[in-house]
Amino acid sequence: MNREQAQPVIFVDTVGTDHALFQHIHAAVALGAKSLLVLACDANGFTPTQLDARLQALPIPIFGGIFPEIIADGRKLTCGSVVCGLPVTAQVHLIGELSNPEADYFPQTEQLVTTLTPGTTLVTLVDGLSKRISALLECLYEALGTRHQYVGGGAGSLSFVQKPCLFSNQGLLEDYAQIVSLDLPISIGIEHGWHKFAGPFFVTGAYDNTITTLDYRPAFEVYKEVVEADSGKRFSDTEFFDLAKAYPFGLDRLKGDVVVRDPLFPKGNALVCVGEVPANHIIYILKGEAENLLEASRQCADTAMWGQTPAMLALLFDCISRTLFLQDRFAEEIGNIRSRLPDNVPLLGALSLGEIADAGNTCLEFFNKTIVLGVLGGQQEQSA
Amino acid sequence: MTPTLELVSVQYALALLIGQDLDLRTMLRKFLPPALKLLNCRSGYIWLHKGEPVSAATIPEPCYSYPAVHGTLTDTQPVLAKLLQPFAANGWQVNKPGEIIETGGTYYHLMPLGKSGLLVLLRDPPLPESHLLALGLVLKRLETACLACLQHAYLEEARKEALQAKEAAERASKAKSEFLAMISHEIRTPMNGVIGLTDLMLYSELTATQREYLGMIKSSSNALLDIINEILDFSRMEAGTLALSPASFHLRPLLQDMFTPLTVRAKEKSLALHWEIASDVPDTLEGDPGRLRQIMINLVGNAIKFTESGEVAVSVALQSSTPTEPVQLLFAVRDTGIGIPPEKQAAIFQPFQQADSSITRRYGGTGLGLTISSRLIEMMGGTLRLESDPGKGSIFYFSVPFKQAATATISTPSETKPHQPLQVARPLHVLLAEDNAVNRMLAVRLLNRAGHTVSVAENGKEALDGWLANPPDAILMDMQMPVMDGVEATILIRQQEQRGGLPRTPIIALTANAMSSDRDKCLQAGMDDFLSKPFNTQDLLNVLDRTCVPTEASA
Repeated sequence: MNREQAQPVIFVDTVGTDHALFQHIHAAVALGAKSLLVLACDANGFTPTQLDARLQALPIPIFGGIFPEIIADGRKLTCGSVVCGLPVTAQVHLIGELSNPEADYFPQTEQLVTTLTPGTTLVTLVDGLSKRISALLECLYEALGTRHQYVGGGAGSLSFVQKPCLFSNQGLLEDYAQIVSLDLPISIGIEHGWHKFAGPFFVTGAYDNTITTLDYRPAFEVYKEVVEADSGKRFSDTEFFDLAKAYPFGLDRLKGDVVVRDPLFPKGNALVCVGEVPANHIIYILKGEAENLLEASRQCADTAMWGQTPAMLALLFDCISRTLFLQDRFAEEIGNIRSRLPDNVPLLGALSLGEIADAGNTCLEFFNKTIVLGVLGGQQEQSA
Repeated sequence: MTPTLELVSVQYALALLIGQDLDLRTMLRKFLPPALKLLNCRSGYIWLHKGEPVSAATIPEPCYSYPAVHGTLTDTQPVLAKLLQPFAANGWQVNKPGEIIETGGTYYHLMPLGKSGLLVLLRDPPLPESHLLALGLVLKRLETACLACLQHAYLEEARKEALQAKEAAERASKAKSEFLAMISHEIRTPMNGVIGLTDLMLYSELTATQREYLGMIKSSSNALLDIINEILDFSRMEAGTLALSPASFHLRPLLQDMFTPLTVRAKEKSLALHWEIASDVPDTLEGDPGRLRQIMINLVGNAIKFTESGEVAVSVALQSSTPTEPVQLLFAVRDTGIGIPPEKQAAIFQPFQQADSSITRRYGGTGLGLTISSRLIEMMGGTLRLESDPGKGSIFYFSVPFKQAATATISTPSETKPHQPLQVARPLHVLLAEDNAVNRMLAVRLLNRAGHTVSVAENGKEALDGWLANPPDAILMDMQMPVMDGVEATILIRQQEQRGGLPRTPIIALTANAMSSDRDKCLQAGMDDFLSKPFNTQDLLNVLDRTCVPTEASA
């Protein structure tokens, strides 16, 4: 890699071994990469014991995560890894205790004000099964606000068992957030395609990422009534997520828009979601049609490509539940995005547990069941 | 959802975001970020003001904003700062609630918080009129919450300042008390010399006039010592360093011993002094006999002092007694004196107060005696009370609990021989460690006169060497000495005794440090007894007699 080209180098492994991963990492380093983005599949079964010593020995910054599935240049991988050697030096900041109910993240995010150069892109990756992701993002936006643009998502396993899932120079991390500053411009598209189907309901009881009551009734009871009636299936004889993946919640925003919340599993009569649900807000149960979701992917790519020339790399965070919902047609979603990108712009991505983005005209949010596409432009100052 | 329902639901959610927190930032932090998300806004800024105009150049930082403002508003949000200038200069008055100003594709919504603040919302596209009006009602509630927070902060600040002032006053008072305690202690050392040397001179050949003068010096010195002791006690009480020294004692001999000199004083004023201890009052008790004696001397002394004719009567009665609980004893001192008017009765327990200033002129005294007695009684678990009839007399009485003591452990002044002849029956070899030359000479003379042999040391090191070279029957050890202090010397002596299997030499602390903590320090180091300066000859001989128990060989 040289500065004139300033292009990323990408290595894809479809086997999913730690040996192949480090072979590619070392190859990227040898080619002059200044930092490494690594996306790996949960099915690889990577553990800290396997990776930590070698991650700690790396000479350049590394970031990324282990996701249920990944996207490597237009292909969805259920096993394997992608290593992207970036032509810029990433500044990686870590914030831990992402499930601690007492933690105030503001002092740590406020420290970033003096460390980070305004205008840089913040790739924000979190352990997607942590309980206080929205609280962290609120503190991040409170401290840094509109000085940066944000893109990212939640790493983790579809087994919903929390485990080390973020790559760092310290090793694999669990219950952490990773704020990565890249001195590259970005344009972002955010779409979901779900529509309001039942409601409104008042969230009368909620804490962290758990809804306890809707309209003063047990949340799962209300949800079950609606979903079973519409689907003709019963939660008693169907895996919860198989049924729930088609019926997410939507937090109402003014003028018809919604922020999607994915119900993960019932806890007694409460429902645990990906990301926090605030109490006393209006919520809907949403429903999706494949066509609407696929249309959303087209709109998302159009928005992200608008005004970003020359594009260098497209980074996609697409909710894993969309693949579960679209199933075979998910290839169309990726195809829609790929087709709108210039041929020479690689598309990398993760099928994530929650998506992070700043739409540009609202506050930073944690989304579910959403497509977030960030198109990174070339480095702003280039001199050989 | 219908527009009406949407409006109500937004209002509902926003109203419930206004929390109960009394910290302004916490309250606003729980309100503004979720409110902005709900309203699809980009950012929001809240100022609290008193409607006073602000000069155009200095728009103050908002009291809360999401996201935060780092640095001045003019530097970080120049468009907003410029936009606000005319409003701020005009006492923060907006043309209409929910005024929207469009600049550079962003819509700035100016929403007053009643008359106390302003919220600016940034949103694209702008909020509809109906939503602005719905928001207005919520913001009035937010104003009330903000004012409650400000009021709370003001009260907290005032409370903190009052607390700091109180602590400063207490520190100053404690420092004053410590200073008084220190000064009183310093005065005791030379007083030891004055009283001791007077005693010594009184044993020599004197003319009648010289004897009379020396008697006056002695009584004046004792009066001065009483005053110093009262100031020292009071200062220690104020400084919180006075503690009781519990010990087993016999009540009847203690009071008998105490009444003897008081009877002399009563007789001098032609007063009758009666005292009676009820027969069911147990004799062997556990408490602080020294302090009990001090209280009784004060109360009976006052009764004699303020009674011109008639009598002073003291009684001790059993109030309650169960086998498992301490006995409750009622002490009462009755006189036929001048009495105390009802309106003055509360004041006499306050320091430096007597019933009126003419009393001070007529009868003298520091005005501390009753305060000290009253506080000592409180420390013992009782309350000093008074009933008085002006012109007819007063009764001071108190009830305090005492544990009943096992006879075997009793060691009280009553067991000593208070009126030993000056010439002792059992001469001892005493090693005296004392750095003050006057006090050293005085102690040597007194001890020699009584028949004891004395060797001297000027510091702890010399005492240790002296003890090694020629083991004495007893050591009188000053606590504070140069080179090596008395405590260290004692520890070394005790260690060497243990290592060498040597007999234990009685060591008596002899010091002007009258604090009970000093006494504990001495006893912990291995000393056997403690005599505080100034002491009289008899006390010195008594402590030696008490500590140096005759062995079979020497008896």
